[in-house]
Amino acid sequence: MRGALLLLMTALATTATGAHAQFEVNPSAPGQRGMPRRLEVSGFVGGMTVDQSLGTATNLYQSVTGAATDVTFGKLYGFRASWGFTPNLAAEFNVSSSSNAYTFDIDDLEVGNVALGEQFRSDRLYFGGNVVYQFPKGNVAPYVTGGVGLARETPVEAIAGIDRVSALAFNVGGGVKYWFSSPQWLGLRADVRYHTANDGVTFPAGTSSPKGWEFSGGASFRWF
Amino acid sequence: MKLRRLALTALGLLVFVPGSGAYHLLEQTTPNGDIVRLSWSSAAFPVGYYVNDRQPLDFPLQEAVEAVNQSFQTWEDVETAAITFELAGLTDAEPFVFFDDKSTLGFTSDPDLAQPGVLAATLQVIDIFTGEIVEADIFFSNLFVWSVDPNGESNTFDFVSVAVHEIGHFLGQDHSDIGFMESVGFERELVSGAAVMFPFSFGPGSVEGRTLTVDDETGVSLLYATGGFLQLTGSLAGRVTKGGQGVAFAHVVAFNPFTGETIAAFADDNGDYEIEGLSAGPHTVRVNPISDPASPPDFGFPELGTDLDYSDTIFQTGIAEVTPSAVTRGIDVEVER
Repeated sequence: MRGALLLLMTALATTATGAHAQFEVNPSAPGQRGMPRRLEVSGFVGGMTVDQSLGTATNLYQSVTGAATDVTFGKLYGFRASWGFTPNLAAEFNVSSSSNAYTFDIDDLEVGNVALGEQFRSDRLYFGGNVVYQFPKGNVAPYVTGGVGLARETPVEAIAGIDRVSALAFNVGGGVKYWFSSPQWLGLRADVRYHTANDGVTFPAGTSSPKGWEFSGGASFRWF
Repeated sequence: MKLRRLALTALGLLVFVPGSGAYHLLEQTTPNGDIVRLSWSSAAFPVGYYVNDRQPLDFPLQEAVEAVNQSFQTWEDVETAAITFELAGLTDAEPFVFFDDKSTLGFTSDPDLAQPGVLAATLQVIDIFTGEIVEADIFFSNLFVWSVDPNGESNTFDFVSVAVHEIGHFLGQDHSDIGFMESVGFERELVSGAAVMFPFSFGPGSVEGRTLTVDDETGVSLLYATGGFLQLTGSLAGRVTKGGQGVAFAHVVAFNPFTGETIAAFADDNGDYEIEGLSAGPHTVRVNPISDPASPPDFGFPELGTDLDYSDTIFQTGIAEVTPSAVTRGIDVEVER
């Protein structure tokens, strides 16, 4: 893991500080398999399944459990930038935003069980780095990936004592990119990634380990 | 202050029922028809209090004084309320002699006051035009055996717990209905976590009544707010109805699962309610009638005009989201028999 992180940091530093200077133009075979060192930038939209427990809070009359278990299609959007070291290996920087909707369920001493439906929303901002291993073949490049980052969850409306929760987050996944023959700098991509984090919004006695599947599609642009 | 403006009001009883937080503030309708909350003027602080110099039956006088000081300190420690007290001294004045400008605490065997089932009571003298409390006396009944043991003592009532409750009245709080009795074997006991201002005690041997709940603290903070309390908190408001008609004096409880705070209030005679002093965030809201062993008069409501004939109900038609310094309206609950 430490080796992967070092590799990611090196790649990101390179992308950030010298991207323009290091574009390597190879006009003899643009877009062909085996083309080394290329910068890719992608925008994407999609949806995310959420599986996050708030825990249980209890008073004299009832126990309240809270969870986000919805699918927020249409609420996910983001940006990826990657630098290919070899035809197969690349480092990727990700920023994405999604939204969680939390519901409450009550177990009341007198009333019984009551599902309250959505009670509040939070915004989730993720940024981090991934290692991408690609299998380019013609215009298509399937890939697998894994990475680490920071997930920040912020309630949309104020909640006493909770301004923002930041957590270490991990993801693994894969996808496929399709590069057009003309123009060669344009492509489409579809991605599936599984996310986890070590903390999130919870009730005081709750522990949180949010997880969920990210499904996204987008457009990609590349420079040789 | 002219004597004719003053009136004796607000008998706050702490009752012990063998085998048996919503804040609620004392109010007064002025001769002008305005409804005002009863409270001490900010100029009255530190409020001085006297302790009757008669030797208590169950512990030394000095321990009684220390216990009274401790009880006042419990309220003074509420960070969101600007209240201070000071012991003015011992007095031979009885704790039920009014208009003597002495707020006095003491024990009594007077048969008109020390009645079966009544542990203690607070009586206040107020300015009927402003609701300002100008004197408040607290008596403790010699019909019961008392203790000041910090850990409680079996078969005795904790003097500090009862004093803390009565000082809540002293400050202008009425009874809270956050609490209920639960069966323990063949006995009924007040459930743990009940508000200190619940009208029934925790029973012999318990010292739980020494610790204020959030509901108790909210009540006193609304009367004497400080530290940005009113800016940091908000309100939920709505109407409790049954068959479309307002439910008089329904008990409405708000629970913030993020803070664990349970705070409640009563609807008025039209079923309209507002729970103030709530922390920001989503709340659950439940409605219940006043239930056994409490009764409407325990909270200052008319026995006949208070609707008790409906089931506990939970608000589930939307989000009860509290925003600081704002009132979230429309938290309406329809109850059924």
